[in-house]
Amino acid sequence: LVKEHSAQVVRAAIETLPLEFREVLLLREFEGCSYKEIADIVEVPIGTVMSRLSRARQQLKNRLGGEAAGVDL
Amino acid sequence: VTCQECEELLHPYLDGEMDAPQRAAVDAHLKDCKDCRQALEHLQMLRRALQLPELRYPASETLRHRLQKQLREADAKERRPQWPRWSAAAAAAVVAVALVWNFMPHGVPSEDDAMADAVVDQQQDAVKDGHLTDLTSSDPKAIQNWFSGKLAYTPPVPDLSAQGYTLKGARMEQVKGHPAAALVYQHGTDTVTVFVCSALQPGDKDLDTDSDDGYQIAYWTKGSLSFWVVSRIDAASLKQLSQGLRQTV
Repeated sequence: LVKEHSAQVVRAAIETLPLEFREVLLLREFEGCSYKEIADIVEVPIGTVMSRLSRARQQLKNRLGGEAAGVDL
Repeated sequence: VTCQECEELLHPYLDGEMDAPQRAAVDAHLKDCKDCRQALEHLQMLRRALQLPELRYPASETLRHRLQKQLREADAKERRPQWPRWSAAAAAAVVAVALVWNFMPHGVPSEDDAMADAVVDQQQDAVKDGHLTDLTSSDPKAIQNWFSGKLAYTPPVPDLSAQGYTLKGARMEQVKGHPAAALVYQHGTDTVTVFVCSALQPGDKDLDTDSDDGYQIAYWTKGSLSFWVVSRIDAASLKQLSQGLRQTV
């Protein structure tokens, strides 16, 4: 039950990310793409991939910060 | 490395996208800086949270078909002259599906199902575009040579002529975002394509079969490679061929 709740919380947090952040995060974390692969798919420079990924994680961390005791954050 | 720099560098550090000197510089900073060590720890926790298996879901049948249809329509609008463009489109398709699938709660997924879908999609696209081979050759050695430098491994290219399957050639593929070798054989009027990919979970896994959209699929893993045989030939013939193939490769 705790785990289910955690997944729900995480999913809800991912869904609130702007699309451009969400796509790079999902490509990296779920599809295991390299920065180069993400850059090719999303058609932006690698530097942009890096900054979006960093901001995506930052935002996700902030959103999960308060309410994710079950996620071990 | 300052703390401010380190904060940005932690992402490529975590993702293994750093060369050795950069990595050493970050390591040196981390050794002395408690705050940055903690920041790295937070990123690692975040990654663990994203690995909850419940975050991955397959699409419902309806959604899957709708997506496939949309992707094909999008493809049809943009003709692809050669494989690099093609692989980008295929990768984008995988992404589009992944972005939606991951957020549609429909039960527990299976990596194998997803792979089976992916190889059938690739096969359908290749047939639709009339582009089954990047290299046309019946010489296994020539095909292996052609793949060298394109893949991190050398795919085995078995000669199946004794079983009635003629080697026609090969093409590069992107299966779920990873490069793969596709070996193309002809059997009567049917095409049999053998996808050779890096195994998601290396080891030895027995032959398994599946079917999707009129295609028969047989697959197995041997060591670090996984094999996906896709064709419209009947299930029994495909299984027999695959069993033989599994012994050979």
